[in-house]
Amino acid sequence: MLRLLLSACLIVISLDVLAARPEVVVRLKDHLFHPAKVYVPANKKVKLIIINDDDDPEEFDSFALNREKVIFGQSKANLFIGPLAPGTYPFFGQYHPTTAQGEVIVLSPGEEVADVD
Amino acid sequence: MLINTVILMLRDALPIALLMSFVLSAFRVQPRTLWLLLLTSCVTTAILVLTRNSISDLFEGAGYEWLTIGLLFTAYLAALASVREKQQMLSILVTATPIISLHLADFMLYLVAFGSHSERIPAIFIGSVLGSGISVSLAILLVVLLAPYRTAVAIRSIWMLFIAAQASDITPLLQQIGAVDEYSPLWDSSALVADASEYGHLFNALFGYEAQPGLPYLLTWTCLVLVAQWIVLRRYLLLRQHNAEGVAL
Repeated sequence: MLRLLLSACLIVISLDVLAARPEVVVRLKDHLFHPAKVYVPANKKVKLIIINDDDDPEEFDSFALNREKVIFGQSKANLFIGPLAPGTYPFFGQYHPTTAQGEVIVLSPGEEVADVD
Repeated sequence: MLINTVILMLRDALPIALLMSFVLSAFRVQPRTLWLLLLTSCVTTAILVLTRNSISDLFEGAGYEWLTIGLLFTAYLAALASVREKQQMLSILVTATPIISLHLADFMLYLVAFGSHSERIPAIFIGSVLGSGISVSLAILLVVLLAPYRTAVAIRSIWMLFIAAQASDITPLLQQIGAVDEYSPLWDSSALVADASEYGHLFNALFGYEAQPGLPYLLTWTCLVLVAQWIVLRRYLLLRQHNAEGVAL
């Protein structure tokens, strides 16, 4: 019974991980996020791909999103966010918090991007 | 750079300092065990720092999260075992080493990355001293506060609450790698105590405080705390029963 339950949990987790997700790429250059405003749809899990073009490592940090991820210099990292309710979720680079700042803007269904960064 | 180093130091050194307070208050730890803990923590930290880049690339970029989840769960299981007197020192070592090493590795990475820039060294040094000073002060305060409960079940209970709080970090990590879905926060107490504030860091390290917890986090925290408290209480009742019967355990 326990084995069956564990297998079911693993299958659910695997299917969830393997399911196709919308992807957003954010680049980090000169300790700045490009784009600084990331638009994502509401109520959908989104894969955030962060590419660090700097030589120094950076830590992607967000209290609103509850995420922390170190991205080494000249490398990339993936993390998932959502499903999120419409709203604005700030994030920053923990190692350069004064310059590396941005926000995830979750759009309501039907809402259009107001401006492009 | 100075303020940032203090914040990072608080985030990483505070849980270590609090953990050491609990270890010293809740258990009669011998100096040999402390030296052994220092050695195992240094070795594990060095391994984590040196291999982090390679580990991070595993499992489609989720390697370090899986490793952290494994280490936190091991620490939690070992803490459950530490309630028993038998093999207690080994349990404490297996509990404390992963928690210390994970936090220390995070801060070491920052030091290694920015210590190479000579102009930043004074700010990093002063920030580290300030951050560690605050952490050690709070840890000493905790030891003083816990002193009256040295022999009571309460101190073990608080110790397990602290470990359960540390292990609850498993949920945001599972959400980060997409294995568990995000849910809307059940409440928002940011106006009262924000996660980024000093109290936010302290309460998070002490009992897993989150200003905007989702359902998965609350469920994980509740399960880990309840199991831990049940084991502490069961052990206490068993000991009382045996003491009443005059049987040594």
